[in-house]
Parts: sequence; structure tokens; C-alpha cells
Amino acid sequence: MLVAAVAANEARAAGAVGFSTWDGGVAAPALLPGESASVSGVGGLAASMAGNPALNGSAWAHTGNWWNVYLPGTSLATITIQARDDGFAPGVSVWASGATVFDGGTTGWGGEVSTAGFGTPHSFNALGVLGASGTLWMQYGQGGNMQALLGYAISGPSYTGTPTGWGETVAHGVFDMTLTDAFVSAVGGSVGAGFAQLELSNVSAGWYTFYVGGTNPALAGGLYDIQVSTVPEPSALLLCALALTGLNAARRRS
Amino acid sequence: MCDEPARRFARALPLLFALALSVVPGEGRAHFGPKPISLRGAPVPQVPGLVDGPDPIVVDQGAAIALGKALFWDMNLGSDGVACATCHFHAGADSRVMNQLAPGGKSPAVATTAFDLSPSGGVRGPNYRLARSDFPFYRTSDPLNPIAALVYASDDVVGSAGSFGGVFRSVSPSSGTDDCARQPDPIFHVGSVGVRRVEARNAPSVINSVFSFRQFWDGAASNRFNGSSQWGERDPDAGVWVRTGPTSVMKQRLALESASLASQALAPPLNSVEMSCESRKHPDLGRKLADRAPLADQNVHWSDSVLGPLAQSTPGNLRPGLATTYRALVQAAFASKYWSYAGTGPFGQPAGTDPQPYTQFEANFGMFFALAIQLYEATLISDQSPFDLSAVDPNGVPIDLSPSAQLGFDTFRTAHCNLCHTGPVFTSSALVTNATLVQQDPTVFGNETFAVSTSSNVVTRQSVTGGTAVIDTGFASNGVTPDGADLGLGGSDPFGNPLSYADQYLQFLAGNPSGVVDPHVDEVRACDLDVSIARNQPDAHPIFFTQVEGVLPQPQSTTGCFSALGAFVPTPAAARAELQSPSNTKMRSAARNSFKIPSLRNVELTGPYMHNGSMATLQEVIEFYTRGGNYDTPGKQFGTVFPQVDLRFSPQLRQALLDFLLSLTDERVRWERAPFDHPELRIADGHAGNNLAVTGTSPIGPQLGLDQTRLVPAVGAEGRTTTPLGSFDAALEEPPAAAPVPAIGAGKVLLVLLLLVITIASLRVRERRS
Repeated sequence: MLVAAVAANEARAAGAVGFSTWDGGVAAPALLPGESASVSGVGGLAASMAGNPALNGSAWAHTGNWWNVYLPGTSLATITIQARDDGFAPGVSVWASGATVFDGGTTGWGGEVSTAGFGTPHSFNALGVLGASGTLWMQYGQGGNMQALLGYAISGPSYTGTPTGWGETVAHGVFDMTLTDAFVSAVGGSVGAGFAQLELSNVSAGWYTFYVGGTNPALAGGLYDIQVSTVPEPSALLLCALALTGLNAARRRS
Repeated sequence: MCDEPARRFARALPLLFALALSVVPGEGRAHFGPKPISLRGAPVPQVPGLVDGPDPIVVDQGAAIALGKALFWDMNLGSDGVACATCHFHAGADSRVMNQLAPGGKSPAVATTAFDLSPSGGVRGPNYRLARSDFPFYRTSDPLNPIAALVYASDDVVGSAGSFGGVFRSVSPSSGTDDCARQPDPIFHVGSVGVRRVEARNAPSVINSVFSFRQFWDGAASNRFNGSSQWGERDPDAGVWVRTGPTSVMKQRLALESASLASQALAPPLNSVEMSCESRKHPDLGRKLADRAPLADQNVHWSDSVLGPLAQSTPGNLRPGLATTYRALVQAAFASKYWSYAGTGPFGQPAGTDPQPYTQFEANFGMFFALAIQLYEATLISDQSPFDLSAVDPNGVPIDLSPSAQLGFDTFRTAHCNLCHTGPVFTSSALVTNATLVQQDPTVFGNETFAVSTSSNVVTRQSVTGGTAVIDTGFASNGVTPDGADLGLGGSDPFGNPLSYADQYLQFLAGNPSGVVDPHVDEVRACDLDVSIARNQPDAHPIFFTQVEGVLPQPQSTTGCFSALGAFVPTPAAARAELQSPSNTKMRSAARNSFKIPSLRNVELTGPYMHNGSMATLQEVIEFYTRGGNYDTPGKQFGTVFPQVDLRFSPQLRQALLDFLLSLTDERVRWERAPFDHPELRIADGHAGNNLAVTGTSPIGPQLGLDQTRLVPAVGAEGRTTTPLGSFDAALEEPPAAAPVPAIGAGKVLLVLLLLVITIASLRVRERRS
């Protein structure tokens, strides 16, 4: 369900959610091709991303973890969430904010309230395209500067309670939510026990944001590790040099 | 074309470095929610008309405070030696460990009279001495894990030993013990010997209680004092006797705002579990105490910060009592129109054996007592803890605490403790203070991006386990006990009205004014509810009213609303229909199982914890919140009490949280320095013997157990000099271990084997020889 509400007299505040740091205390690393960033031993609430019956299955922004990262232009970037034990079933959503880092959104933008009674982003829609209910707080042109949801993965069970907090569908698996190729061309990946992975294909350089939380309320929650990696890419200059070398060689032969 | 990605990246580099360098400590705390702040300078709720205005009730505040302090600590107040301070002697709370168990909650859905076995299977019961191993009362195989297997649960309550009870006959002007018909209590007895009854809720601290909008765990002490009972406007017969002329006197209604301490004070002295024989009345107290010296049987330190100038003691010579009478103190403190009528007649007479009619002084003694207690307890403000005294950075974060406590400050916020323990008193029950601070400075709690409503509303609306519900401001269900174990705020008063404002507010919305018995309920501004109850939108919503059902603009101003969109209420018809609907989702109350949110100040010293006293240490409390509580009661505020994974896996964070809580201890409280100094007190600390046999007979009655008495020495303004107050668990002991079985060491085994070998060898030698 798309909503068009814009509260004209509202002021964007930003900072509705805070961001976790990567290993080494880095707030928002800028990765080069072939580089990766990781975090070890993060605490994950059992159902902070999906499946919490008290929230009608929706995500709970202040109990999961948010990370920002600048990805270079690369053919493939991979986000991997690995639980330390069977107490945590991870889920992850990834968004793109383009040339500027995610500003954290605005609390209560548009006055949205979930069916469970929480305003945004205390409860929010981590699975819906921007513009859907529960996303205005972070959407570019509304309460935030986020440009697009790219995809998500849920390793826990599908949520069968109805209705969900924002009308979203909470299902087990990996979901490509890209509408254009502006940021990535496709999102794939896989999920398994204690494991969730997203693969972003043909990534455009820019800022990306991950939200990670649990997706199975029957579990105790637990620790997990997160890693985002990019494949090594020949640098642009190297490519040009190789191309020129090839052209010269071809000329000599001819 | 081929170098476009590199160019884009190069353009972004300066931005990246700028961002990496712009991470300033504290900046990221905006999403943590309201920040704790110092209590120093925070507004204290005042009682209009009490000591100010054209016709103040109290004409000498100093005398009233002295009267209040004497009454609070005087053992002659109770029918059998119990003072207010008996249950509030230790940092304002009760740290006794013997005969402190009650068999179940105070207002349970189903009454229980049976004590549980201890975790190790031992027999408990009346006069039981609590041991460290009794705590906590709810145990799982892993106290930090939210889904660990239940190992042990008890509905026993660690309360406070009070009175033997009995049926009141009369007071004596000379004896501290009232004449009552006393029998061993059907529950609190050991064999055939009666022991003191135990209140079924844990005694909260009186320190900083002046900030609470209402008192008692269930809010049963009204914010508005009526002069003669705890029930405020609810009590149709309440009032005080006012002399209106030389020979005329009239009973008049009284309604003192922000005087819940006075309302509270009137209850225990007549409660047959806590301090009194049944049917005793406040005028009987007046008759008992009027002409005796305050604290006649208790030493008063010559340098007592309040009572010193009145004490019989002189430096180096500690003596009991004050050099005055209660009557003289009342007459000095209160306007004469409340005590100067000489005749009798309209004031009634005792219900017991005393035929003498009450005087005006006696008839109004409840008011004198209550307002004096109010003024005394209002002096007990602890605002000099290390947290209060610490400097703060530009973000309001304390900077003088230990690194661990600093981390605990953040943890207190990230773990959402601050959403209930809000503001400088560390409780949202400090409604007036929190609201006043926010009115003065909307950013005082620094919570613009993660706000909780801190308006003057007496109710709010929250998402709870059972849906979305209205709840009294400053009350919450945190899942300590299962549904119905103690109804708490969900209980009723003797007149049949709900204790909660929340239930009244629902009646108000439904157009039923007779369902509103407390002030301020009809003043609730809908736009200041944490979760809206109505919005002016065309589409239906499952948790609030819309145009579909019918909404109206709120009658009040919308200036400074917490949520401008929520400035609507349902039409009475819509509210009524929803209230009567079996599928009601918009008109729910979360009062059931909810209790007043306590302050955390001096929490180090005020164990055991929770309304049922089921946790002995702050570590156990932190474990409780780390696992997300014990029970998912329908009214549980799951958004504040939920499993804390970071705490679970980080001993460092748990220690940090603990260290922050320890930073809330005011050293003046720990050392009982002024204003926390006090007269001597002898408290019943269990009975001679144990829970299986009581030895000795009380002088109060032949079938009653002999008290074990603990002496709490008088302390002057300079406080204790050697041993400070300790935590509750420091008073707990382990039961004596069974006699050890003599161990046989390895050396002894070898010795025995050697002797055996020698014996066998010698036998063989003998055999060969033979």
C-alpha cells in the first residue's frame, strides 16, 4: 500500500535512529573495491526485524542495529549475517541513499501509526518500498533522505498473524525489491539456520544502509557477526591502460 | 566513460573523511530517549493553601515539620509499638529479614493463604528468617535468557511485619499499647502462638516520595487530600471541623492539591495489618497522643536537625522525648480554628469502650497528623548523589562519574530504562515535576527524536502486550508477577470505584461523568497521549478512532501538543459502543497488574526490590530486565520491558548499569546525615525462635509471640560516624549448613590399607609358624 501523505508543515529532524559502528569504531566506512567491513559479536533481539507478535510482525527500529557504509562501484557486494548460535535467526534489509549518508530519518513523520500502536520508527516497515506505510520517516522528500529499498532477507519463519503493522508481508526468504538499476541491478542471496546473506549486483558507488535484527520470536536472541564485502575490481585507470596496451599491440601486429 | 566510477568515488572522498571525523561522543544519543538529569533545583510540588495564601492551614511550618518528624518516628502511634518508621527506617525503606513474608499479593484475583516452600524445598511461613538462597523468587535455568526453563516461582511477598491486630477497645493516655481483644492471627501464627501480621507489598522508600503524584504501589492515596481519609474526592463523608464562631463549629470539605503524602499517611495508622487494632480511628490517636511528650520512650539526639532544639537530650547526654507535648506542637503549627473549639458534641465518640466524646482537637487529629507528615516527608529530598553533583557536557551527559558509570548512563538509556524511570526523580510518577520541567524547557530531557510524553496528563496511552491501552501516568506492568497475582492499580476503593485514572478516563470518553471520581481525569488532553486515541482522518484504524466511528476536536488548546494529529477524542457514542463491544481494541485499560513506577534514587539501599520484594539485589533486578521480565501480562509495556540481548552477553554492560545505579546514592542517606537523621527506634525484628517454634510470650498478650527487638540508635544531624547503611542482601544470611560428615583423607585411606596389609601379613606369619 502506497501512501502519498506529506505533512507540509512538518520539519525534518533526522537522527530518529542511531547507527552502530563497525569494527575499529568506524562509524561509516568507505570501502574500496575488494575491501570489506565487519562487526563481531553484535547482540540481536529475537524479533527486532520481523515476527514480533506484539508489533504485529513489523520491525522495531530501536532494538535492531543500523549500519552505514559507502560502497564503491562494484560488480558484487555481499552482506552476510552469521549467528553465533541457534538462538538467533537474522534478517537484513538494505537501502540506498545515494550521494549522502542516511540521516536517520524523522520520528513520527506524517503521523504514521502501526496497527500495533507504535509510531515510526519505533515500529517501521523494513520490507516495503519507500512510500509504503511505515516508510515515510526515512524516505527522501519526506522524513529522511533514503532513496530506495533494495532488498531483504528473513531467515526466520513467515509471519502468519494478521494484519501486520504496516500491511507488509513478512515471509521467509530473500526478496529483490529493486525498482530501477540506479543503485544495484539485482538483489539475490540466501538464508539458512542462523544465516542471512544478500548479494547486490552491479553496485553503483554511494551510500548504503543495513538494518539487521531477529526474525523469530520463539528464540532467545543471540550474538551475530556481520560482514559486507566487495569483489576486487580492476581500477578504472588500470582498465584504460590495459585497453590502450591492447590497442597498441593490435596496431603493431597490423 | 571508463573512469566514471573512479571519478564519482573521488568526488565522494572529502565527504567520507568529513563524516568519519564528525562522530562526536554524545551526538548519537538522540535516539536513546529522555536523559536522566540532576534533581538539584528541580521543582518540588507545592500544596496551595497549606502554608501560604490568605488563610493557611499551617501557620508555623517549622513546628509542623517537627510535629511530623516526631509522629513519623514515635512508636506510641501504633496500637502495639509500631511507628511509621518501623517499615521505613532504612533509607526510607525496610531492610528487616525476619517475619517479613506474606503468602501472596495484596489484592489478588484469588486469595492465597499458603506459604510456598523455599527454592531448596525448605518450609517457610510466619516468623521465617529470609536467607540469601531464598532470592530471587522467580528462577529459570539461565536468569539472563528470555526463554530459559522455569525452575522455581513463588507468589510469597516480602513485605513488612506490622501489628498483631485485634479488635480495638480504647487507648490509654499513658501506655503505648492500646487495649484490644487480640487473638493469634489465622495466617500469621506459629503453632498456637500469634506473630505479627505482614503487609503483602514491599515498603517503598519515603525519601523523594513528595514527588509522586499519588502514593502506594496501587495509587490508592489520592493526590488531593480531603482532611480525614486517603480517598480524596471519592470519600463523601470526608472533611475537617472548622470553628466558625465563638460557639459554632462546622464540618467542611477540604481539597488540598499535591498532598498525596498526607492522604497516604492516614492509612497505615488504622490498618490492622500494619499499625493498628481494627476499628481504631484517627480521633483515638489524638486522644492517645495529645498530652504526652513526643517520642516519650525514644532517645532523641541533641543535634537532631529538626528535633534537637526540642529534645530533652543535651550534648553527651542522650535522653528520651521532647520537652513539649503533641497538643502544644499542633497548636503552634496549625491555625486555631482547627483546634480551639472547647466543646464536644458534633464530633462523635469512640467505637470502643471509652464513653468520652471526641473534641475538635481529636476530631481533626487525622488532618494534623497527615499534614505534619506531609511537610516532614517533603524535606526528605536526596539530591546530592554523585550523579547529581557531576558536571555535565554540552549534551547533558555527566562527566565526573567513573568510566563504567558513564557507560551505564548510556546503557540506562539504550536499554529503555529511562522510558519509565524518567526525569530527575527517575520515575514518571513524578508527574508535576516532569511536566513543569518540560513546560519550562521542552528540550530538558533532550528527547526530541525519541520522546515520551511528559505532560501534566494523569493518563497516557501505550502499546501493551494485550493491545493498546490507557494507563495512569507513572504506572506500569512490568511482568514481575503473573496476571491476577496482585491487581495493583486494577483494584477498587471501598466505594466501588476503580483505583485507576485510566478506567475513569474511558468512562469520561464514553460520556459517563458519574464514572469519574478523581480530579484531572476530565482535563486529560488527548494530544498529549503517547499513542493517540482518535484522529481526524477518513480511514479506519484498528487502534484509534477516526471519522469512521466519529471523532471530535479535543476541548482544550492544542498549543505544544505531543502529537498534533492526536488532538481528537471519540464521540461519546463511538466510545460507548467500543467500550461495550466484545472486540474492543480502542477503549482498553492497562491498569490491571500495574504498579507505581518507583524512583531509583538510593536504590542501592532500598532492597528488596519490586512491589513484591522478590529480588534481593540490583544484580537480580538487572537479570530480570535483561531477560525481559517474568510474565507477559496483558498490560505489560513490552516496549520498555523486553529481552536485552546486549546486556545478556556483556557482563561489562551489566556492571556499567549497576555502577550507574550506584551513582544515585546520596551519601547523606547512606550516613543518615541531615535531613535523614532520626530519633531512636526499637523495631520488632521477628519473634524469638523461628518459623517452627516461637519461644517466649509477648507482654501484649498471652497467645502472642515475644518480639525480637532491634535498636536503631538516635542519629544527629552529622549522621552516623562508623557504619553506614548497607544493602538489603548484606542483612541476609545463609541457613546454618548441615553438620559436615567427617571426611576421610587420602592419607587416612593409605594408613588403613597399611594396617590391613600388616594385619594380613602377621596372620600369615602366624599361620606358617603354626
